[in-house]
Amino acid sequence: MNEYIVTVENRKNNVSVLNGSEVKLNGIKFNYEIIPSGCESFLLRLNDRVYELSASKTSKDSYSVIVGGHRFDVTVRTTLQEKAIKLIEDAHVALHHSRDVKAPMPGLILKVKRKEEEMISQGDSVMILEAMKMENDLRAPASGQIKKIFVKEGTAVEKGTILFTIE
Amino acid sequence: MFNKVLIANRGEIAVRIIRACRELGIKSAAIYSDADKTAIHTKLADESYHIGAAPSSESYLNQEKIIELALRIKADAIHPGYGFFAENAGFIRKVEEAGIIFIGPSSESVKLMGSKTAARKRMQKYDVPIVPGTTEPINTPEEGVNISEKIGYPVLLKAAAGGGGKGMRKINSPDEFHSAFEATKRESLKAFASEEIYIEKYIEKPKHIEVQIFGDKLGNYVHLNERECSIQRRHQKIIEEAPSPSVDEITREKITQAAINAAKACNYYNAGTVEFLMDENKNFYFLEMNTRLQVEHPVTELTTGFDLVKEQLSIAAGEKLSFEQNEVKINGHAIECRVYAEDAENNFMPSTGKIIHYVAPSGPGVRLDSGFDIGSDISVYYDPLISKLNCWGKNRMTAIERMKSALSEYHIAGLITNIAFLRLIIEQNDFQAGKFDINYLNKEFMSKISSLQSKSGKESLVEIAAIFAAIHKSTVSINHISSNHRETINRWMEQLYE
Repeated sequence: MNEYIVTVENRKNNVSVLNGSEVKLNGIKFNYEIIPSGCESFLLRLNDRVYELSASKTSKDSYSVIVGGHRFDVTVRTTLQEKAIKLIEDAHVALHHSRDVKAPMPGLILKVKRKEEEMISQGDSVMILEAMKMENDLRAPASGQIKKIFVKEGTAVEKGTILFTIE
Repeated sequence: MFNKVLIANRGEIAVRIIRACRELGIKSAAIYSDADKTAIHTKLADESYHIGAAPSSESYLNQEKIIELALRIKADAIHPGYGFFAENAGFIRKVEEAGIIFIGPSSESVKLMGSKTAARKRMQKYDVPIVPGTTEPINTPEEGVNISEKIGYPVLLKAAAGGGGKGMRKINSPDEFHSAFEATKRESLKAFASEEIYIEKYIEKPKHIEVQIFGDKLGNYVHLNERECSIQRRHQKIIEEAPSPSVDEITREKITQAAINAAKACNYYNAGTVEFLMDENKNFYFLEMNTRLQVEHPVTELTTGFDLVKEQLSIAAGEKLSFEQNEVKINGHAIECRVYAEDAENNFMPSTGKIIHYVAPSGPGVRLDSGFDIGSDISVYYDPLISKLNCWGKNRMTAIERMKSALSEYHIAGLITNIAFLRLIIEQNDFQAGKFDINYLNKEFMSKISSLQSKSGKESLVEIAAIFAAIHKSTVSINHISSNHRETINRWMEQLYE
């Protein structure tokens, strides 16, 4: 069995190619068949529906796939590769890079509990965000030093606003 | 009628003209550059002549070579298509002087319409409403400020020789005037080799409405109703339709009459298009006249039943218009989408390359004017228009449904196209309700493209792409593909796998 993590449009899908005619996408099994239909082009039958696709390789793990008038950049990695890459990335972040912590939802910064330059451990509560009348503890996603805090108590933030940076 | 016509163009429009010639029993002579040796127009024409290297200046824009060729091969007439020489009065005069017929208006008509201030003055005299502003170039910023006070801000400063959105600036208040005046002048000089600029009132939320007209050399005029081309990006039309969903009978009567007046004002003959801006209260103002066949002419052909290119040929040959005004009716609705090789998700960067797979849409009411096919190169030298997809229906909604279906059938691989972007626009409620003006594809629309796209049935396609890529990564599947196809797959594999 071949298990892959397929990333399309920033979303990861679990795809297991069971054999030459069965494939599982995020746990759902499909019967399939592939027939070449031209240069870099194929017909893919999934259960009772046939799709025409064209695909070309853009880098080691990436394809550009055209289907139904849309074009997708698709990255395919085995589960093992994906794990390895994630480990490397995490190590990178922990060792060398600073990391921005963003607001997970719009709201109001109720309390800032820590100061710049303080050392924190993963899971420490750094600030409290009030959103939808609930208080949410915002915890450090990694251990390190708080390099900069961008908000004050009382600041209204949008989803995605950078709150603080850990180095 | 002519014996032989030289087509001084390429791509889909050259193909369109070859077909019209064929129907009329006229020999067609195509020209092609190094880059177009395998193009459809090169293959379809009765005679094809190599004209030069790939850059337009050495091939499709080489006046001397083209006229010399026309004389040598004894062509009676030259059809310019659109773009290249279509509105170049200097070229038209040279063709006329060489004793060859130019399939289009006279060089005088083109020259007159080429100057915006001269055209505005002439239009005013012939009862064609113009946007309030000046009909003479302005010389000093002070003069401009005085005029702007009278017509009211915001105003537009425009190059008299301009077009295509270049040499144009919006001014909101008097203190912006000085710097804008100098900048527009500089831009105009650079782009159009003329310093003349003038002022127009800025029309809020206008629709682009244009009227197709025809005149023959005997002084007869007809119109073929209006088209709406408000879906534009950076002043480049993307989707056009006929009739306009916003023009009622009374407005239609007035605007088509104005268009006929405009044509008469410059002694026009052959096909022409009078462009107007229409505001929310259905007041319309003359914008400019395009003295040629328009890219979007098929929507008019589909709704009126007339063949505009054949009509152009017979009028150029001196014949009378083949129909009268009372024979022109509107039958149903037609929409055109321009399919470009460009990446809508990457700031519309042109995409070049070879078309490696091509599945054209078809079906009831579907017309595809294409200049390219599998194996064709879309090169950096020319504009990135691949084809024009037209859909006709008994009413607008049927045409829209057919367009949605045709766009989803249209499969082009090897380069990036705007097909998904066109589908996205067609699927918007505002588009379907006819609620749009020329600013529809503004920054705001562009910034929400990604969120709009997720609604358009793309989700399931994402999953298909994911499954497909995984199967291909897996060697298991390759071993199970029937041996007939293994060779093809292997070739593909060699390309894909290091």
